[in-house]
Amino acid sequence: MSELRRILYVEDDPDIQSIAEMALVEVGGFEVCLAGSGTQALRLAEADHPDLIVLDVMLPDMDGPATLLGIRAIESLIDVPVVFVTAKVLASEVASYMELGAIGVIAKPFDAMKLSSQLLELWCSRPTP
Amino acid sequence: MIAPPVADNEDERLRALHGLGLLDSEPEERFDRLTRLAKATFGTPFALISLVDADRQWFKSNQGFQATHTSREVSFCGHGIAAADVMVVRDAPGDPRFADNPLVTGDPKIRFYAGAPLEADNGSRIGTLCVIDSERRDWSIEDSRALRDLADLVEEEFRRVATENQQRAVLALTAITALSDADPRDSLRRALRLGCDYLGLSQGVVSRIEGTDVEVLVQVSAGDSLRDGQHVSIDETLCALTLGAADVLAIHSVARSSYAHDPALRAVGIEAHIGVALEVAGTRYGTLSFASCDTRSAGEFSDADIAFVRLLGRWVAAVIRRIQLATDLAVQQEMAAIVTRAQSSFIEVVDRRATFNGLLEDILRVTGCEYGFIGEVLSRPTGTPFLRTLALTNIAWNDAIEASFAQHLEEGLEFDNPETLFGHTLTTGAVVMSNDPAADPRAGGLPAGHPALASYLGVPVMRDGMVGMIGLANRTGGFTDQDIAFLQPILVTCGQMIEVWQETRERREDRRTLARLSTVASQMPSGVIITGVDGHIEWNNDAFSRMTGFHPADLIGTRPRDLLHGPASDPATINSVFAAMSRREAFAVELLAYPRAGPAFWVKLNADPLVDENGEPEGYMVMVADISDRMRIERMKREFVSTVSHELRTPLTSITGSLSLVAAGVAGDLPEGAHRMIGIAQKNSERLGRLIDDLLDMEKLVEGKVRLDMQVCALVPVVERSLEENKGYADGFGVAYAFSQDCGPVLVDVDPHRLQQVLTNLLSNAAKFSSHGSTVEVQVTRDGSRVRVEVRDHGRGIPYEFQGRIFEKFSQADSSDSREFGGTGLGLAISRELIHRMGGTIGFTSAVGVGSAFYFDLPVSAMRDPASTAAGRHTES
Repeated sequence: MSELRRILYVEDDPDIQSIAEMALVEVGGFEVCLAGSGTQALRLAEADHPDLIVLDVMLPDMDGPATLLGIRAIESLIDVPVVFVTAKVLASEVASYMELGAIGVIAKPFDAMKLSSQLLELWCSRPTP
Repeated sequence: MIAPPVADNEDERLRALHGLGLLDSEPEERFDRLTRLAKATFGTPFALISLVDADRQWFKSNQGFQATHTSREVSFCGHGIAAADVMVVRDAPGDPRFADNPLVTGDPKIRFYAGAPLEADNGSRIGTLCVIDSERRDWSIEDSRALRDLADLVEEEFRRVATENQQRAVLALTAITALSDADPRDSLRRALRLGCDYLGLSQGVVSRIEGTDVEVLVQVSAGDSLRDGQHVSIDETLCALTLGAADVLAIHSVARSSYAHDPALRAVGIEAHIGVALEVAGTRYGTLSFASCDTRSAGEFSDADIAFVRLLGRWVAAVIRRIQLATDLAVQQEMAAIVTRAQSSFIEVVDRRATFNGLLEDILRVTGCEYGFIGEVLSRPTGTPFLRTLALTNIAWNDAIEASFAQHLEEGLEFDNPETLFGHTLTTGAVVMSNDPAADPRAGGLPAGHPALASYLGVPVMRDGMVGMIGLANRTGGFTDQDIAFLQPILVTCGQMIEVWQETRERREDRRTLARLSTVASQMPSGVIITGVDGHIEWNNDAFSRMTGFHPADLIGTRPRDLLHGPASDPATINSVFAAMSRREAFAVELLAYPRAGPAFWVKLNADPLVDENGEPEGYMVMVADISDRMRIERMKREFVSTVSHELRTPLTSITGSLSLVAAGVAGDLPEGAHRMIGIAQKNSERLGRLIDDLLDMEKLVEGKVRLDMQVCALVPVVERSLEENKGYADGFGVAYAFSQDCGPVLVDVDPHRLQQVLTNLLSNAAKFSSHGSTVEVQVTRDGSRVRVEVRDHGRGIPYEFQGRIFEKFSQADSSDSREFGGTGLGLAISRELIHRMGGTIGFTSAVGVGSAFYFDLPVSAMRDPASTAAGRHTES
């Protein structure tokens, strides 16, 4: 199992972007690439090929699930694990995200100090393709 | 002087003497001619027919003697009646029996006496025929024989008198019994006149006597000093004496009788009296009496007179009985007429009160009363009975009462004073008869000005119970038990009338109430429909037609469900309505309704089953309120809360995130003071986050947007997991959880994630409100088909006044609690909502200072434990 190093974080709110970046870089020691929209996320993901993509569900142009479908449509990204971050954590919604192929869902607002360890945990317990 | 002896048969002798009726009578030629003959024959200055009664000798015939009578004591004749034959006293002063006799020592200075005893029919000696001289004289045996012969002639006259008396009596009685007037009272009157003639008295009276009241039924009197129908007190008559006598009471002279010294009797002013008690139909009725204010010239009443009165009494009684029977018949016929009149009038006449008035007038007339009332007996809400008049004689005695009478006559006047004669009947249901109301302890006195009350009769009118009463006042002569009996047929009719009256009034009031209600119902802004048992509309008001856009004609006979339900009407709600209707229960639901045209709108239905008077279901009355506005406002409110919460969440995420990074020193070291402040900001931002979470949670629950992930799972592991997760939180308060269970592996059908949310809420509350170092007991117990999870703390308990609102939103016993304990005030409200959704119930018990126990009960699932109880894989903060 490879190590989790590079994370693409997709979030339209710049403040949350900054917090997530600090949380993942300073606390988790990860390399973080930030995207402000689904379109930008697809472009960056194709270019950088991250180990893990973290998707906010609510995004301005195309939402999280649509972005996930876009990512899966790219040959080279077909196996990249995806985690959703969302305020919508109803059981039914969680189930639908999981069905889309996400490896987990993190509730918003997240604990900045625990974000890295939560992602790492999901990364480690992800189903091996 | 030696007093005359008294014979052994003195009583018999006196009866014979009095029976002749000669004492105290006028002189008669038939006797006087014999004394004249004696005087001439024997040449004496005095000749007498002397009758000896109990205490005197009285001279029926007197030739030459000064006195009319002397005392028996000094009488020569007293001795004469005791002698074997003619008694001759030749030398009175020389006779020890008479030597000091005042008639001998004084005038007429009797020296000679010869007396022949006179015998009545039965052989008793009642007197003598005697000759007396103031000089001594010769007297031969021939003289004695001659005197005896004359005495025999006197005796012959006695017998003739007796015979004549009897003949006269028989003649008088024959004349009387032959009387046959159309009106028996006329016969009575003529009989009295014949009686007076026969007896030689001036007045004759047939009286009816009740107690002390003497009613002159029929009379004849000199100068009409009496009149028919007159009432007098028994003290003013000799009636009491007459009634008390065993047979005919005959007093030919009060002055000479044993009553001579009775002042009361003397005050009556009657001197001669003969009377007999009348017994009619086996009961004492009154008296027949003849009297005179003067001494009776005919003297004493003879046996024939007494027999005459006795027989006349029987005849009078028979006549009275005939009158009574005729009266009874007449009264009965009158009663029947009254009853018929009342009934037919009651049935035909619209104004039934008039019928009661007519009935009262009839009763007053037939009973001879002055005034009265007919009333219905009703009860106050307190149960106190009162009287409301149906008919009342107007006895108003001043303008104010007259005005009140007129004003209240229509609806009836009400009386409820129990301390009255009528009140006694009202409270006890007893007949009250009072012929002396002023002295009656049951009477309450009369208001000033009230017409005099001389007699009163109050009779209850009974049906199942007492429905009314009739009160009558001032019957001439007072009331008797007979009056009550007479009233019986009227009471029955009156009872029926009152019953019908009350029923019609109730119906009238029902109709009036119904009319009022239907006016109210038709003008109400809310829709109202009345359906039959099958749910078809039988009536609806204007508002319902307006609301639905359907004309009443389209609505009547249809079922609301057929017209008003649409695709978005909640089927579950509709089913609950059907279920309630099939159980004939009331229901209240909110439903989306579809009018004839236009958009669907929300209605709230409040339906109550209608039952008929037998308790059988008749259908439903349904109030239909248009709650669209309320629903819209509520939706707006929810959307607002939801939007605001969502919008708050994003900035809050930034704040919370930044703070936790800064606090953790990720963004560089902080001075000690700033570190503490950042800590405060962090804690509060987290709390704000929880509050927003709860708000959204609550709104979603209310909106029904929360879909529970129900699954059958073991309860105990869920509880244990919750305990584990909250252990750290409890540690913070120095509180430990102690778990116990007695139910083994029990399955419940729940959303385990949500159940854990509830448990967390209860466990954290218990920890928060426990005193440091105490234990929170968590117990799972099973009771048949239900299982209970209880969380018991030993904290301060919930104040009693707060207990009723504990499950409401934002309810906290003390507003400082939210600051102190960091709760949102939504936890219990959410928990209750969740438990309800899972088919359970939630509750608590609490005692201030002792602690609280929150519990929820869930139905035990009948299903077997499924293979997996795992929820979807996800994590939460």
